[in-house]
Amino acid sequence: MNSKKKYTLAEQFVALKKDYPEFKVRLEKNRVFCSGQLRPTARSVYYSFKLSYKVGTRPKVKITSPVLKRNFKNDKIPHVYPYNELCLYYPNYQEFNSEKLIADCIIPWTSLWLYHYENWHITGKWEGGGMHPKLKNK
Amino acid sequence: MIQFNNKNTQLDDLLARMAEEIQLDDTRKERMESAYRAIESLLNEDTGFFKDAIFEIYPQGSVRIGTTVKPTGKNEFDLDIVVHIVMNWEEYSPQFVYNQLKRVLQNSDRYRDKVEPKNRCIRLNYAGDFHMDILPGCQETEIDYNKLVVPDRKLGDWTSSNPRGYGKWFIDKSNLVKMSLLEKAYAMENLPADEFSKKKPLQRAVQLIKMYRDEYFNDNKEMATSSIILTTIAGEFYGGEESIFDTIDNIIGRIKQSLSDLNWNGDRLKVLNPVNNDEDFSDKWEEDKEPELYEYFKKFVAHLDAQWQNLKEDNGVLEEANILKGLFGESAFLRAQNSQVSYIEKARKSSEIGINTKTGILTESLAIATKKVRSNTFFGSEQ
Repeated sequence: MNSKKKYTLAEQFVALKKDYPEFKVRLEKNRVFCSGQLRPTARSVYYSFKLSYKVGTRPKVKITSPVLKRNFKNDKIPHVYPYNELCLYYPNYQEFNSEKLIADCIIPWTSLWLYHYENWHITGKWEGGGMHPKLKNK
Repeated sequence: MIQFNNKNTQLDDLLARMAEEIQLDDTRKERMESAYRAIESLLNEDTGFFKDAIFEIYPQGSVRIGTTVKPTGKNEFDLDIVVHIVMNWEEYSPQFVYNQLKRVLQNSDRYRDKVEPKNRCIRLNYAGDFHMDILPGCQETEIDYNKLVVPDRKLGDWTSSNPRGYGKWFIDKSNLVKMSLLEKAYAMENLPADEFSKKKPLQRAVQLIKMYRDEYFNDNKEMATSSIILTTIAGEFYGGEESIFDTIDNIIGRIKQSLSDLNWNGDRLKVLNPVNNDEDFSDKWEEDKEPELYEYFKKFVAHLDAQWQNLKEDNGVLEEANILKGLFGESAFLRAQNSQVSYIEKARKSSEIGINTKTGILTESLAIATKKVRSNTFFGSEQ
């Protein structure tokens, strides 16, 4: 059985540069870095983001500005990891892995996350679906 | 609600959705139509005055011109209809004509208990649903098919009215624009033109201004500016703008200019009936009548202006949401917002959603320079 091809760091770099000419993309020995601006709707502000990826790990995505905040109900921001790194997929479902391109998966999911983040601020509800990790017993 | 790449179109779509949410729904509309058709049948069955009379029945007011707004709180929908009679009215007293209509309604088992006589019309109360104000009127001359004389009980005389003429004036104003911004945007996206997208910016603007009026005067209803004044001002100051946003913006601007000029001369704004300049809709604003109403009108305009200027700034959707909620009420805004989110999520589940690779804007059209959004499950916990 053929194993699916794993993308190299260079290939991830090239795909990002090609698909998103507006972004800054940088390739280092072990990591690819990407930064840019996204807005989920025509009337949204632009959100600045940065991304860092090492092959075989979860791509880390952070919103650098405007700062992510709790909503009017003072609810904590949903679907983030510590340090407010966005949580864009469920690892067990393999929605993203090293056989997939960041350009195809992570970037569009970031816009979608921002869309629901804005709606969560406006309505108080997260309508983007998703799951939460089971809490460990203390 | 679809996603547009242009922010002005996006806002116009949201404004249109909000107006659509609060207008008279089709079910109610049909109920009201069958109610007035029933009145027509009743009059046709009359063995007295109406047997040989030449008459027709038609709606007037917001239902006629497409600017209905759901009433707030316990208020009911208001349907205004006209019984337009062609007869030699000069030979009769106004009381006679009014009483003929009253007679037929009070003699009917069906309507007897609903009848509530008013100054010019007879109100039928369809309790908990709507009320229908029936205005009897006689065609004044042979040559003008629209102008009427109607009985005014307080005056004890005939008074002039022209509901069809007013309706035509307003519709003509609405049609100053051939294709609105939204119509064009829908055409460009190859979406079918439907009742929603074909409604004119002036109609939507009047709906929204009335909504804002209901919200602003919610705790002070006696001071609320009347719908006929707001509708007439909007029509008079409309300049054929293509978008709902610009329509409201320019109407506010022109009102401000007028108020400023008139204030300089020590005059007040007068809102005359465009099809009968002898009738001053804003008559109550006179110094010796209820000048507080005029003061409240000016405050109402100033507040709308301030909020509208805020809306023009690029402060993002949160700020915009807060302004819109404040102007038009939270529930109308949230309904429109939620319908957009449902639309996006539905497209997402069908894998029909992408992002514009230049801006990140979510879009339903998977055209060039869009990247499809693949299936994903948000995870992680709250921080």
